[in-house]
Amino acid sequence: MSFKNDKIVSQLKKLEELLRFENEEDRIDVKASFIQLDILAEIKNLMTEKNISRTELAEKLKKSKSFVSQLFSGDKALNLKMIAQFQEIFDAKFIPSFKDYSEYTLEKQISKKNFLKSSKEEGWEKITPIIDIKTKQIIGWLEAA
Amino acid sequence: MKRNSIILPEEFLESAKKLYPEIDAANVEIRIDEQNFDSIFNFLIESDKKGKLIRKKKFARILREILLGNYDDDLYGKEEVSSKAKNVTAMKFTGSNNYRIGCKEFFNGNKKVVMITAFHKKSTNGSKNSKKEIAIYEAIGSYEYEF
Repeated sequence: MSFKNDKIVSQLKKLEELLRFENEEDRIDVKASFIQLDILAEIKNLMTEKNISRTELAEKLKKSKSFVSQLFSGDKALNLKMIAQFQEIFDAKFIPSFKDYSEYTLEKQISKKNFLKSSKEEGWEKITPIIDIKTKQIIGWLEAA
Repeated sequence: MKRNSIILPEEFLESAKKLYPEIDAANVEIRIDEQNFDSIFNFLIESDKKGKLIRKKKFARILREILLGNYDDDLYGKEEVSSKAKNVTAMKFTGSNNYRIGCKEFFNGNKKVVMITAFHKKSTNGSKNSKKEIAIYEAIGSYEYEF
């Protein structure tokens, strides 16, 4: 039993390595792919809004459908030229901005509340929505505005 | 009979906080099915000849989607293939080999629990599920766990 537990503890330690990016180049690479996913989440919204399929998007980008899939999963890197193409395809301006992490995290807490709410609508059971005092304050401010 | 699971330790979430400072992961818990733990572990920590974990970056991207509560066809999506596969999802390890790790989502108190249950190699190309995969997702849908 103890041998089994020791084995699991050592396996869990090894699993932690999956999220440790001590090598700077790897860390920056993976964080760049997160930025890419955030940009592409916007593109997905625009595709739904403008009723554009992946096949159509691939054609407009002059790339294969498989390339577009790899782009959306972060396996291929997005570049500024493609963002310029997206601007033309969707007739929309790409607006980058930097936000302080603390400010951004609070925004996510609000969206998490919405996420829990929408999950409930989909039939989740045992849900306790989480709203901390800070978030309640912010929601109050937003409602008052 | 209810299945057991192994909860990923605090240190794992601490590493997640460093990697995703913009995400508050306090309301999400990641667990791995105990019965399939070894096969999932061996898949996730597979290394190349130089000892580099080959699925590290992909896993980091998938986990970020999970912590953000996102579902899509590219990294982590719902696989509710029938009424028997309610709340079943899959981590999508696409590439030259197309693998999936089936998961099931629960709510335990105020936490969303993402239970990593079983991995398989996708038998067909594209997004369509084969009969075998539908059976896998329906089996996952039937899993119940001790919390």
